Amino acid sequence: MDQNKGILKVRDLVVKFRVRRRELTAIRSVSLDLYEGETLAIVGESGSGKTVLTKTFTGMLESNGRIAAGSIEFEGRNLLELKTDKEWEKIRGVKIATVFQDPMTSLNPLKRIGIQITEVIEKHQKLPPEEARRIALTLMEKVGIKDVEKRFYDYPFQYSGGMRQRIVIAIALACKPRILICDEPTTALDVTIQAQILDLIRSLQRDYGFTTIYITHDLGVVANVADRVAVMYSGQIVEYGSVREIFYDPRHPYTWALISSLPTLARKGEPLYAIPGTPPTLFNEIKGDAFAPRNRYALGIDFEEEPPFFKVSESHYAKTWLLDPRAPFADPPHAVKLMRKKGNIYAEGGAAEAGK
Amino acid sequence: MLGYVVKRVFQSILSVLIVSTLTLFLVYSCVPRQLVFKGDLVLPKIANKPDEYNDYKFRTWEKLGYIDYMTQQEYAQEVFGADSPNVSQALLRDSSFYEKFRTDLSARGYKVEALPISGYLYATKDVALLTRVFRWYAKLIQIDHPYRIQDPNNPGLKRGYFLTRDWGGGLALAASGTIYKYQIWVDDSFPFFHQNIVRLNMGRSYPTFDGVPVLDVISGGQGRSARREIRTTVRGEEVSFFTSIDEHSLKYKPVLDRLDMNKFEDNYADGNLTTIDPSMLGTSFTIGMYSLLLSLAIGLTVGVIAAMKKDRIFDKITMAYIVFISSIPTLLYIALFARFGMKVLGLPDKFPFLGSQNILSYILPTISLSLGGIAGEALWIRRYMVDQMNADYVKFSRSKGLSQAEVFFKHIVRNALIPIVHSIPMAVIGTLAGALITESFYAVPGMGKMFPSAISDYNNAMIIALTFIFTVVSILAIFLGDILVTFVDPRISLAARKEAR
Repeated sequence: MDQNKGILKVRDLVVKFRVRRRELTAIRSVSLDLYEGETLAIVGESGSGKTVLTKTFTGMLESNGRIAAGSIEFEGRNLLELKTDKEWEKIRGVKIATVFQDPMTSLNPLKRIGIQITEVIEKHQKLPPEEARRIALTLMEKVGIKDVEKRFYDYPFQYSGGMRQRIVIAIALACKPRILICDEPTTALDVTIQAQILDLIRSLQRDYGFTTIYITHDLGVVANVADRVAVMYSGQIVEYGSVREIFYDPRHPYTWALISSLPTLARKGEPLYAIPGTPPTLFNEIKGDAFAPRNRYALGIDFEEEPPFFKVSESHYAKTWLLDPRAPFADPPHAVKLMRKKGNIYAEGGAAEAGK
Repeated sequence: MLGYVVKRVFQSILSVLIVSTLTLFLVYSCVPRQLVFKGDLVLPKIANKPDEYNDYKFRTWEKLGYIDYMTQQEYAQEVFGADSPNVSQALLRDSSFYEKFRTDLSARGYKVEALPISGYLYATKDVALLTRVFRWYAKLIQIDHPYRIQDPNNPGLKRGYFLTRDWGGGLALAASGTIYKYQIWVDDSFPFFHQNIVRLNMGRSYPTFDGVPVLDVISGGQGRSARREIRTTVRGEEVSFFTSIDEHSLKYKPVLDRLDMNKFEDNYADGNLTTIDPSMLGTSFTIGMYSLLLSLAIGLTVGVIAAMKKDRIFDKITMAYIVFISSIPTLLYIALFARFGMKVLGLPDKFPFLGSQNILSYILPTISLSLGGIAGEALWIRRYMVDQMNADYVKFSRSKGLSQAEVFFKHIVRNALIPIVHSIPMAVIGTLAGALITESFYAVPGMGKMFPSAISDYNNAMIIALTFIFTVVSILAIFLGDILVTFVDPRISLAARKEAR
């Protein structure tokens, strides 16, 4: 949104993992700004580093992972200076909370729902059990659970998937965090429930005023909820901008490819577009643009040198040599042109409205 | 819940019936009947007396249920009455009774033959397999009641129940006209409440523990008898005497002698002896239970710590121990440990050195038995813990800001314990079966050797009884485990549950 107050500032983050005595670089120098109150969607295919990136915000990297370089600034200090679990526990769940993909397995099957909510409140807010219970009941009502007094004592197996995800959200919001990371929160749910959960998060965001990061590979969800979008590929952000800019005026060939793969934009009679090839292995150092081998718009230089971010607008940047003034004209795929046209209609409509 | 329990009990009874019937069939059809004499001590002594030899063999087979057996003399007593002079007439060489015996018994399906020396006739008939099995079940459950004893020499026998106190002063429900005097009583030994009304009769042990009911073999005391002084009143007179009789086992005795008259008011004078050593079952259960508690306490603690410190040095040592115990023969590590216990700790490496009354006798067998148990419990709890540690809810709990320790003790341990809880009743009841290797090594008079030796001794009644008992307790243990799990795991309920919302 237009509040430009940064809440989380990631600079040149590099994350490496040791896997079977070899080192792979999962995040290759990522910089990212998160603004107060906005909803940022991070999109990209599996293995592009979306989840790893957000795990660094809560110090939840797997034990074989380490942050090799960079900084994450949050509330005036660098999170990467936190060393012990004890220090991290003041961030996790309190300031930055996470909602995971699968609500069926996110809750301890043997603990009463209520207890799983109150344990966070008791721990972080140091409240007596009775008080914690009161807050938990309010939260349960807030996330749309009916008959909370009774449901408080139910076990997870007595809840449906959607209801469980509501509880997971209630737990995540129990301590009024400033940032909520939703790691594919709707992937495991059916479509109607998906919409309910997205609406819920949006309305809670209005009430509580937290900032949301969505990790998803569902562009439908992105279009629905996001203010800004960051597109990730092979451990890097390759393009970011407002949701309109990314959908209606994408600049990076990878974003083009993603949009071309949307079934709704496919042309009748033509096979559905799929990006050829597979992402490069992160064990080796990547030369040039990581997407180049799969990119039919790739230029010679893409194989030689990594492109810098080119500014498209104040809020829109893309990391591709195609934006270099010396680059030849590249004709974007049909789906992207279609989206551009739609975008123009909206823009004109908007302008017309503004002119009234 | 009730419906489920009834169904399970029904299934259990059916399973027990199937298993014991199969065992009965196997034992009675596959074990050649000549082999039951392998361990017999009488037979070699009468080997040169063919008549006695024959008679003994057939009587034993009859006792074991293989055949029906009838001698000429028995038949004569049956025909003429026991005290009739005709009986001895019938045995004379030129008696027409020979022909009568031959025709009568052949008509009943018997095979009639003559003894080699005396020439007296005897008749044998094989009992059909099905009949044998049926007879075993028919006499299995014996219910005692006041009209049980029908003694023609004692027509004035009183019948009925009355409350009384036993020699120890404990309250008891006694009876007259029953087989056992004491029907129900309470005392300070487990399970504190005892009864003689319903008793299982699984036959008598043979050839080992000859003539003793098999249940008494495994549950009766062992060792020398324990004498104690009893003060009581007999026919209004205060008496005091030393005895080793266990008054709760007193049975009806048709003919009393003087000594009995001095001790007892009534005909209930036939009792088992109390002994200083506990029964085989008791010994195995004691060692097994302490060993199980030790295994659970140490094994679970070690396993939980190993899981917490996964891949660190403590975990590696634990895994090394588990691999060591699982890979080398049980006998070897027990022998090593026994040597250590004897040389370094100075403990007896044979149970009978100090006997059952000395606690030191139990230490080495108990710990030896735990060595494997600890490895097992540690392995499984570690495995379940590691499994839980990778669960999503653990990740989520961490992201909630709970500390590693909180996640471990509030979430993981309890979840990992559920499968362990399920196995505990089985382990407890399993101790009744004894531990063959450990008990043999330390010469512990327990249950461990009973089953193998019953098989090698062709002790049919014992084989069948043990199979029956172990089947019943195993099924009971699994059932108990299932019920126990419903208390710790809310997802499992014994009743058919409504679909989760």
